Amino acid sequence: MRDRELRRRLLLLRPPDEIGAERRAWSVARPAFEEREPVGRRWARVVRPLLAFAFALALIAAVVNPPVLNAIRDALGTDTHVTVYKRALFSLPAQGRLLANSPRGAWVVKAGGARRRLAGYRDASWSPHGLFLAARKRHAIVALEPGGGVRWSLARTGRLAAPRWSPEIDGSTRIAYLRNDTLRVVAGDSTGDRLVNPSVASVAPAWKPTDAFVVGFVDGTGRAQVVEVDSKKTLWRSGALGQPLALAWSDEGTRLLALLPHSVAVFGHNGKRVGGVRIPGRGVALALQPETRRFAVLVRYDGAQRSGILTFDADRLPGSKRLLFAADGTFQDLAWSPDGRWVVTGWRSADAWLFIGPGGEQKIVSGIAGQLGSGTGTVRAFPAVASSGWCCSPSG
Amino acid sequence: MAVLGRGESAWVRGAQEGSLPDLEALFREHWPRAHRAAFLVVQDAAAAEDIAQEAFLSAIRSLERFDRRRPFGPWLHRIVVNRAIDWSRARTIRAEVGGDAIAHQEAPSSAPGGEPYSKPMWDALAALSPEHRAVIVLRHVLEYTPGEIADLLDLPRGTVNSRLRRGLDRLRDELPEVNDA
Repeated sequence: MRDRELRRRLLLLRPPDEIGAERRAWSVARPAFEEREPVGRRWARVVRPLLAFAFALALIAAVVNPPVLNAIRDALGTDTHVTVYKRALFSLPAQGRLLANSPRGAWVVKAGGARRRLAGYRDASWSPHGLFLAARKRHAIVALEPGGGVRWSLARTGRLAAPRWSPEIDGSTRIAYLRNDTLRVVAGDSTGDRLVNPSVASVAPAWKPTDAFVVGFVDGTGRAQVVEVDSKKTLWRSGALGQPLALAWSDEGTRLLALLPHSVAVFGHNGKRVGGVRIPGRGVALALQPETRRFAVLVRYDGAQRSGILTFDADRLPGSKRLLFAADGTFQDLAWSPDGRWVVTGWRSADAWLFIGPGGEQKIVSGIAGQLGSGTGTVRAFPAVASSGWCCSPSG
Repeated sequence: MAVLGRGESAWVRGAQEGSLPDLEALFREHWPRAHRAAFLVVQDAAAAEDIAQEAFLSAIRSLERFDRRRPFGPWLHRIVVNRAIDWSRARTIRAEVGGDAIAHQEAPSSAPGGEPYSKPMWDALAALSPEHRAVIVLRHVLEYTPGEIADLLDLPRGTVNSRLRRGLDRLRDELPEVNDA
């Protein structure tokens, strides 16, 4: 083959959607260029750490001070059973491993209290049997072992978020994730990365626990959609919901719950809305209790610096409402233990994790930002309990 | 919005000083070839787009350190092709985590006018190793000399010549109809 012929044939091999790719690349390159740090501001690199260090010292002093713990007790009231573990290595009140995401990386905390930091990984979530984690780095979706070994990394630019691992079906899995405003899915072995929907809201996708790879997500118009990803067949689509904050499936896959700013909507298997309930405040997080249709909702009460955890039965709304816990301050996330007996929330303003167990028993672990955050103890570094982050194996 | 009548070094200087139009001129000038080179090496449309994007982001981050007496293209292409080779190697050695996969769906777009033999060329290219694809692309798409390719890839020139020769031999083997013609 002559060089000219080879060159001609190579030039005929063109990437699909070249113009779109160029437009997308410029939309990424331009803000990156505009956000470059001007040379004149480099002095701030020296001054800022000093200021941050001074701030951290002040905050640590405040956190370890007994009045802070006393304030927690005051918030809880005197008629509750409270155990406070004061800035100590702790154990979990149930079997399994707890996954948390902090600015320094993901943390895996074992039932016995041992913990491992997976530095630099964000938005981590468990694989179906807890053998692996899906996470994101700045420009990659990554599959990890809980011990930190990287199984594979899928380089992707743009804004990556919310990698969520599907249930295992016939020995195979998928990971759904958000890239910019799109929903994509890749196989559990990193192959076959592809677009599922070009316009979605920044709400984590939720896999249906069934015999096909079915994912629920919120599209760009604020509707819940349920799609069979391998065929890309849309199974159903709800009416406009406004601004859904989170989606979650019941264990048997017959109910999809959507947390809305001031209510929870429940959809049946064919997309028909089968229930709903208003919540007294602004919804923050939603978690289904394992092997039940009971769910917990974290609310921030309107007009008050107060948060609460409510539970409902999805089949008996709204009559099944029960207040599990409420206190002053800000709670930020929810996860059930694998046995469904305990629920954990991050009590950000108290720098504590709160575990609520059978009979309303409460266990508090304080000093979380210092133990699992930045190491400086700043509340800014307070780690978030991952969605469905308490997993999985009874051997923990 | 390319800046007309100014040379590449002026665009680089302008971009170093914070000029967005100059950066855009550099981008519009170099994106298509960088993107196509990545596509031909990795043979995966999404990965190629990401690799070319990342190369540009990397170039932007390093812009202030760039010696503007040197041409911008080879600097960018070095990043693109090395990342493309790394990505292709990683793809081949990735351990399986999950069982079977979604069928791989990447394919080149249809050639203009329904070009009948772009598919055999694509398949022939796929039969090469990423290292061989890279030198073929650098030589015959980006039109670098073997000496320049050796500099870009930090390889001895003899290795580049050898890869070019073996790559072309393999392409001829895979495309017998061309040899018959």
